Amino acid sequence: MLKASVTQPPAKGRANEALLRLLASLWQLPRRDLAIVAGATNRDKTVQITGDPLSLLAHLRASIAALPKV
Amino acid sequence: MTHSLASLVIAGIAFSGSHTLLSSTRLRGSLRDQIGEQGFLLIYSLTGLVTFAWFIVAYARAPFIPVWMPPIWTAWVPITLMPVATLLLVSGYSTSNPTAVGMERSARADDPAPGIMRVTRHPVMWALGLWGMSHFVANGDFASMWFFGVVGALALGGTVLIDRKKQLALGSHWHRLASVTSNIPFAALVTRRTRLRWRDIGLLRPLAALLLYIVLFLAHPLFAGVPVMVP
Repeated sequence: MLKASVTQPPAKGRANEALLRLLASLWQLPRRDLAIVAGATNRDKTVQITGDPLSLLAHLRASIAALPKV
Repeated sequence: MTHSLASLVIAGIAFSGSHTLLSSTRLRGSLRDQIGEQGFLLIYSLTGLVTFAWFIVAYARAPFIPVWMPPIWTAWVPITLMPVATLLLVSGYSTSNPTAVGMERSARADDPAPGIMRVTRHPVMWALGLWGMSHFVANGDFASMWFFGVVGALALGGTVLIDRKKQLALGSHWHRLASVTSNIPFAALVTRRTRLRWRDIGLLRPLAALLLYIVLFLAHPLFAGVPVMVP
């Protein structure tokens, strides 16, 4: 589980879009490869990432390991 | 993931560079002397197609790197300008145009500037230019700014380069064309050098342009990966 916060209001998909852009820039991925597949109107969201599973997994592990623990 | 960014930058340089080199430098003349006009046009078209396809693929794969945060109202820039762009595109491709490749003969017609040509003598180039510039404004990530900036600048810069070439190629016919048309859309109409005849443009072209706009609008999430954001 990752905790993220954005400043956009949760209306008309703005906060969702801001979240996906935040994650895309954090992970250096194309914005189009990320999508919210569950929880679009919820605080808990499931994000789907399209791409090669093996290289993505290694890439994300390294990135997430560098994040502070909550 | 950084190599995909380098690929995007190189693809943009390859696309705009090859297009300008082949169309507007001495390379064009020397190639034409060696392989003929048809051979030149074949190489020119293929190079354009291949490098543009490369540019599009590289853009789709490029990482999202924010440069700035465009305000939400900027989404309205493409939403309002793209109907104009689709009308220019549809009309441009269906109207005889002396500034288009291989269509110099139409400069000698009774009316050298029918239909959409009275709005601008480079309708297709302005369609691509409006597409590029409007999307450049609405996107704040590096990949989008580079992709749309290059496309927009190449299209609008191209109008000036084409004008320079056609002036030499068409001679007196150029002056006849230039006196009743403008490069910048609506400039010849505003300065009353020509009048718009809606009958020439007809009903079918605006309808086709509107249909194209609606399809692009609705299918935007499918090919762009993001919806057209409506504020």
